[in-house]
Amino acid sequence: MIQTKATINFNKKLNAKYYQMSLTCPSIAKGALPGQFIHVDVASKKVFLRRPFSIYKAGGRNIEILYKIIGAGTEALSEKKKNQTLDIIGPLGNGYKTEEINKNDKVVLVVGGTGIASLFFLANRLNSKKLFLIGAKTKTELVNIKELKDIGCNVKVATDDGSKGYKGFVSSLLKKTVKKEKISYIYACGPKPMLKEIARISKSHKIPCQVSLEEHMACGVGVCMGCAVKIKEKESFEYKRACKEGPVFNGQEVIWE
Amino acid sequence: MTNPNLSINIAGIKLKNPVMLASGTCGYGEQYSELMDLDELGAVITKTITLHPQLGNAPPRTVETPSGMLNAIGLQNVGIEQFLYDTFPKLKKLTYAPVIVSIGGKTVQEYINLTEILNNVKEIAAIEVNISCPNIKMKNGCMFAQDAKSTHEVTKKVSSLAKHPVIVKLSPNVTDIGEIAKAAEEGGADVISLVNTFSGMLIDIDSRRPKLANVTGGLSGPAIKPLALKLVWEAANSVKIPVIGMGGIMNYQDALEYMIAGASAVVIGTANFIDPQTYKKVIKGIEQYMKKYKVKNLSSLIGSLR
Ligand SMILES: Cc1cc2nc3c(=O)[nH]c(=O)nc-3n(C[C@H](O)[C@H](O)[C@H](O)COP(=O)(O)OP(=O)(O)OC[C@H]3O[C@@H](n4cnc5c(N)ncnc54)[C@H](O)[C@@H]3O)c2cc1C
Ligand SMILES: Cc1cc2nc3c(=O)[nH]c(=O)nc-3n(C[C@H](O)[C@H](O)[C@H](O)COP(=O)(O)O)c2cc1C
Ligand code: FES
Repeated sequence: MIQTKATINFNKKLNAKYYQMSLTCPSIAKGALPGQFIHVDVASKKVFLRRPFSIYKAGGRNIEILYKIIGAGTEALSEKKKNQTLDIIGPLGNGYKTEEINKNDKVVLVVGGTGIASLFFLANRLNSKKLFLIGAKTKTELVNIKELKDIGCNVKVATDDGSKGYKGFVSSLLKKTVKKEKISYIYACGPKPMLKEIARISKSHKIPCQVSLEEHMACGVGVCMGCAVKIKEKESFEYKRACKEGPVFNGQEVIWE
Repeated sequence: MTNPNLSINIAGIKLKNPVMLASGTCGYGEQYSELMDLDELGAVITKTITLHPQLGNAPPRTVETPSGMLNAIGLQNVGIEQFLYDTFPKLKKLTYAPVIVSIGGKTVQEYINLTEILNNVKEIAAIEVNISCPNIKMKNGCMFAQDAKSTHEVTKKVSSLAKHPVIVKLSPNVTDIGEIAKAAEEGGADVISLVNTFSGMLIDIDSRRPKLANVTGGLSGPAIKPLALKLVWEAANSVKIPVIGMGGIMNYQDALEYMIAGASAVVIGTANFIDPQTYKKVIKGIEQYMKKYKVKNLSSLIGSLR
């Protein structure tokens, strides 16, 4: 992990709420793995702590993030301009494990909302067959689907209002999929209720599953014990740090509340 | 002018500068050794260790507040045994800076046991007796540091046994800090440090539930600085032993305010989360201030409020 001042190459508006930002930071770009994140000082008087964002792309000297405005921190980020710098720490956390994935495996990546960021990065590095399931409230929230197709993903969409693709939750779409096809692995990133349901489906179909959890973070580097996730441990449980042992966990190890 | 002298000896704890990292905000050095030069620090204060491992509180454990944060970690730690076997040796390899070990307990006996165990460990610079964690309470629901008699009792037991200098860490959640500070001094404390966090809470109006699973937590960061500064000033005026000051220090100016108010050293806590380089900027800033005002030694700065 390093702390560095990264220069903004672009900060592009994708739709009403979603933005994509590119940052020059060679030392982070070099070692970054899918599932890892950066901790960003958005340098705004309106927010105090840093804000964590998954690495969406990493290559050469640059990394990219993809974010949605949900409060003062992301709002401040959206106002940043090209050539401004941001103080960032990264790459942080443990990424997705992929050792068990073979070329002929069929892997399903399930995302809700901004979960697309870390799983795009993963999909880009996987050379297996990839089915990408995206959940959104409505079709105008969907972003960068073409990029996913370009890297060889079969993309299916679920919207709550049925404005595009399957009408309903993306977890229901996953359920239908695993009933029909032989799936060897599931990766998921998104809101907790969605992840909980996906972990349940993966368990009942005996498909291994990794989930990335977006916990509230303070330090982001593992010193404060603030980002605790309840993880099964023998007969009992223990709290692990989302920023250090996570944010990616085995879906069956997480104790969902 | 020759370079100002930033070193200070606080009750036998030799610091090369008066800037330390706060308990609970630097873990055990492992992560920050990648981002900081720990050797440059006056001292490192470890996360509070208890006799037995603690699971900690349910999440969410932290929440941002205007200019600060609330935490209710619940002292998650590996316990003294694992600490001495594994964590402490690792930390000692990471830095030459003095290591101050923070201890916490639910009963006086636990503090006694911890002190006796640490007596066998030479490499410790001092122990900080955390009697002010909002998450460890006595039977009556108070912290030791909220009651002069309890403060005196714990301090006396620990001080009479300890082979290391004893720092007693006080709570800001009291009506008369001078009285508590004196109780620690009379109990035999070598140094007092303050403040620990202020008790606080936040509510989510949509769910009408508290934002922390523990309902209440401890407030830290710049939000508490003026409150904490006043308490440090009062405490320093009430006792003769050295005082270590903290609470919302974000830059060297904040640190200097604490020293002028009477603190012999300063501690950086929540600021580490925002900028792990804060310590460096604070040390440099103090040095430049001393040059500017031709202050040769810290002692002519400490408690120099006009
Ligand atoms: C490892 C990790 C990776 C992340 N990756 C991305 C990403 O790639 N793109 C992206 O847009 N966002 C991502 N997030 C979430 C992002 O950090 C938050 O959206 C951001 O911190 C919100 O800041 P804010 O100041 O705009 O909102 P705030 O004012 O802090 O929050 C607005 C509201 O959202 C809630 N909230 C904030 N953060 C979270 C959270 N982590 N979980 C649940 N509720 C929350 C708050 O309680 C509040 O009600 C990630 C989070 C983590 C921990
Ligand atoms: C996340 C967090 C954890 C803390 N844990 C401890 C602890 O274990 N023991 C202790 O004595 N103080 C603990 N503190 C209190 C700090 O050491 C310090 O007294 C307080 O935060 C005020 O300083 P600050 O405003 O600079 O952070 C903790 C503070 C924070 C923010
Ligand atoms: S956010 Fe501090 S330990 Fe994870």
